[in-house]
Amino acid sequence: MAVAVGGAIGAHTVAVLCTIAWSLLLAAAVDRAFVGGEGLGAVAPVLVAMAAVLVVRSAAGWVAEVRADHASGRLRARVRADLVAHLFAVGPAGLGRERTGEVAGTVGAGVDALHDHVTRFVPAAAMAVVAPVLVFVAIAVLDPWTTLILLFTGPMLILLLAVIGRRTRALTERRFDELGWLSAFYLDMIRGLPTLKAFRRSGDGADTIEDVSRRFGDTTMEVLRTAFQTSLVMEWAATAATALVAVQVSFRMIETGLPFGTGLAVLVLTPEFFLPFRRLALEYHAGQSGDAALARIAEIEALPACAPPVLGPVDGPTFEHPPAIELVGVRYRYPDASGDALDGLDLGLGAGETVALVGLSGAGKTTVARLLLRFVDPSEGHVRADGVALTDLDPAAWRRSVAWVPQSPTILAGTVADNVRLGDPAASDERVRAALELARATTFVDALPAGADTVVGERGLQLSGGQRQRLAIARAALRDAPVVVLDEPTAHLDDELEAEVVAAIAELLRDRTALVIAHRPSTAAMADRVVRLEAGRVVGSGR
Amino acid sequence: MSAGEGPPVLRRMIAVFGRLRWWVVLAGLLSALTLGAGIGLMSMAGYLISRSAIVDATEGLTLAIVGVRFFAITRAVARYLERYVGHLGTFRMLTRARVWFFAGIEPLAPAALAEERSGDLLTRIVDDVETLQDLPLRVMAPPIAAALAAAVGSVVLGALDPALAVVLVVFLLLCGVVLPLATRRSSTALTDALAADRALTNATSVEGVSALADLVAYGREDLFVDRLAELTERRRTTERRLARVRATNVALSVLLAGLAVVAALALGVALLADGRIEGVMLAVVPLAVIATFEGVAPLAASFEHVDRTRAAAGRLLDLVDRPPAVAEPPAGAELPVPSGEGRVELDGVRFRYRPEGDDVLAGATFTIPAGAQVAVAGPSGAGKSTIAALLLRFWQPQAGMIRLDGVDLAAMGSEAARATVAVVAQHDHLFDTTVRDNLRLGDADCDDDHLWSVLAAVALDDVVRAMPGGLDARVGEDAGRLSGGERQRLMIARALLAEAPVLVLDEATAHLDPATEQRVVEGITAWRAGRTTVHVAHHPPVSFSPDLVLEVRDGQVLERA
Repeated sequence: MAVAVGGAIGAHTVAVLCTIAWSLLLAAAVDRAFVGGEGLGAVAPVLVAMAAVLVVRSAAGWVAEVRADHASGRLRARVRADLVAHLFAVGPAGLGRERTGEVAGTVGAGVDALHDHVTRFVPAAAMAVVAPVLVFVAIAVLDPWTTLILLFTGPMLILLLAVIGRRTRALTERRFDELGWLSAFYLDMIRGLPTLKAFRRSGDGADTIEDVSRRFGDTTMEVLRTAFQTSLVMEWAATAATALVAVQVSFRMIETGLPFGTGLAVLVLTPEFFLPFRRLALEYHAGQSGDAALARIAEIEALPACAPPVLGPVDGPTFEHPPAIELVGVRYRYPDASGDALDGLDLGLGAGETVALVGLSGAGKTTVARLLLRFVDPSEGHVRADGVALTDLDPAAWRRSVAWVPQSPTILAGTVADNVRLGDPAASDERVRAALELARATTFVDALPAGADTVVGERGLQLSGGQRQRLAIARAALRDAPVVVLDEPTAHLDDELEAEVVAAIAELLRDRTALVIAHRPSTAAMADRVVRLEAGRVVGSGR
Repeated sequence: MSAGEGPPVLRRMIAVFGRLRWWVVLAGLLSALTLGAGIGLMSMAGYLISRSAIVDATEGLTLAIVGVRFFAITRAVARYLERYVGHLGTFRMLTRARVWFFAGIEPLAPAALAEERSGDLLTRIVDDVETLQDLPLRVMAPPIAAALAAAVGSVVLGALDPALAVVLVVFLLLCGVVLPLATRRSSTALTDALAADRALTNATSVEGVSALADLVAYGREDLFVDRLAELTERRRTTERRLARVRATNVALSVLLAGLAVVAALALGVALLADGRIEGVMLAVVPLAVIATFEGVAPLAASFEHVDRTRAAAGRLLDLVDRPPAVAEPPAGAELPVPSGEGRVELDGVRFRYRPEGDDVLAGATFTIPAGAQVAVAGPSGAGKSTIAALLLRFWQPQAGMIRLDGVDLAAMGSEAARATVAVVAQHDHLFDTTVRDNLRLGDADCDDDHLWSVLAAVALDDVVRAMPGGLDARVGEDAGRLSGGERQRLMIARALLAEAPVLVLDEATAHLDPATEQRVVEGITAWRAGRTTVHVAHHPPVSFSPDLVLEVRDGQVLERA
């Protein structure tokens, strides 16, 4: 990362060199007026030179800021793009439902936390090495004796920082964990506020917040005291060294005739030796949150890829006619699970046949659907379509032959038509309309303020569960794929709608090979065959 | 900033902290002491070595040497105390802010916060509260410290010659007041735009990750990728401009601080030539100026913190200032109390969520007799859940009257209403704590035996027994460690414990398989032992035999045979 901000570090180095030159000029000016007794006219060129050096120094500071920002922008764009590409490779099955918020947070705010890390912490860390060395060399040239003080305090400071720093680091990391925890706790309380109110317990909620927050503050102060001791030591070392330099320089001016100009230059330069350490301590926070973000990003990037990503349209063989699908001896175990989700499953779907899967939750119904969508591939056994193993096909090309209606479809920010066009981006308005008609969605869509052009989703109009479901069916209809996978499509519907949607689905499934996960009798009833799963195996099959 | 009306946002926010403000003042004073000791240290050191240049013995220098050491120690100790006091105060203030905000939005939830219910908006609110931690140490204390340090520096230079102090003050004002104000003008719009785009990035990320399965299934990963790329591109333009503003700011403050030294030194040389200051004092001039700017230069960069905390405080105040959707009876009045029989009457109730919206209930009239077992049916969106929310006084009807045991709901106030009616709603929340703590929300003093019996009633006892820790098992964020059906049963158990005269179950058994649903419904009926119980569902549970079936349709409530 230091390479990325190389430009910024170079500019900072120029600024340090300017500071050294400026300090020497300052000492020279005072020396010529005080010791040399020269007037303003004679000293003026030195003062003009000081101003000139200042201009260079502030220009270098400007460049450093802009370069660091530039590096951060490029780095974050790249990290975010890589992360998203990897998420698609991991796929929905690998990600796990409960981690959605955390993963989304890393893609958004997590990557942004790298900004301060790159623009502040990394340059400060680099300059904590470069600047003291340059200042040390300057002082060594001017007055080697003074470097003894720096040699004593400098390494002592670094040693102390390393020793205390390691301890503080562990403590600070814990503090960050706790801070994240406290924030999550507060969010939990606010989200639960209506529930607390319903149970007449919001007063207790406020008390709990005060109590937890106060206790958190107290324990954090314990931790921070150590951090403050570090800064006390650092501050003390810096000021003590400055005082020591002043005293010993003045003694040697009297005893050994050290020139005043040299003494003053050394005195002015001494704080500059310690300044970078203090700057680094100030940016410690940025470093910590950047490290935490990097760790979370690495964690996600370590998730195994379940299917290669598809960016943009992919060409490949598609199935023109509904294929016969067979699952032979399929075994599947989720990465963190202790048992098999599917335990040697054999299941055949004839060409154009609709098979309903029933069984208790955890029986493996969803895993079968995921296999057909290639969100997961079997650990053992095969899934074949017309005799071709799915694993021999490009996942994206295969998925073009599959339409999917999930139990809780996600509505993307955009218009109703945009959401239906997820099934086929190139579809004409007429085809979108036909798909909505098939899904029995035209009545509610026409009642929306702008019909199919109404913006829905997070910042638009909120749709009910039944409305979302019908849009998902329209998506699938527009897809016009030979294979359809449906996950309890009538879960959110009332009786009247259910009858309508069952009719819509029957129309959708005609002449397609279909797998339907069914909880409700009406869903199972539309299948050609009902298959019962138990503990990852087929235990019954019938009409 | 829509909270721009009335007193300035930050002043209102600071007023929330009350006497805790003095912590910040103390931290500011200690910070000024640190800076002042720095000025003293450098001035004394300059004087010391200047003096050494013209004497040939160390005798007369003792005072200066002691002074140098004194300021060095003072500075280190003051810095330590400043940080300690500052952080202690910050934690206290943050605790106050959390409680203040929670109490502030309590009367508003959930009605007046309806559009904030989506996850990422609430997350932003919580982030805004956290942002307030910058208020004490990065917004309030630095100007106090800088002003005092500036005063110390001016006194030191003024003692040498008033003209020197004038030069110092001019540059201090340029660097500490003019520059931050000028920068703020160009930065505020950029900071706001960037904050909005950051929020949009977060929202897009949430949307993209939630829609991952849909996007992958339909091969449209590019939708998410393109949207993020577009957003990144737009943000870069803003970020680049903001970086230029910041860079210019840093460059100018370095330049001004340096020029102040050069100007003061030039004046010092001239004064020395005129014999108006002593030669040994010349070195003090630049060193004192450098040390004074140490406290003032950071002010130039503090505009970002000011903008950020002001924006955060503005959003929080906007929320807290909203009028509550439900009017409470005047405090202190003698309120009527329902008898607890469990009779519910709606009389011509008309209700709509928004003034411009459609009527959800248009003159709903019905009576549920005390102790009745009731099923409420009807198509989705007909207003079934609305009735439950009205009974809890989360909203209030525009016309008509709701009575519990013959007492007007509006007159009895929310406390009594919620003591009489318990609801298991679809959007109920389970807290990220233990099974026991979640259950005890229904009844704070309940012992474990009782908890197990209520868990048995909802057929959840075996599940909880199998969890590590049993009642002490944590349910996770959003009860993520439980399945949908287990979550629902835990909510039902919690509501049963409240032992309210009226219990409304809104689609509470929707995620259960038929066999479990039957056990749970029987368990509920047995537990309720003849008290008023209402099942709201578009598929009423098969095993439930109601005394009364109500149908909600087109804003009306009809009694079905």
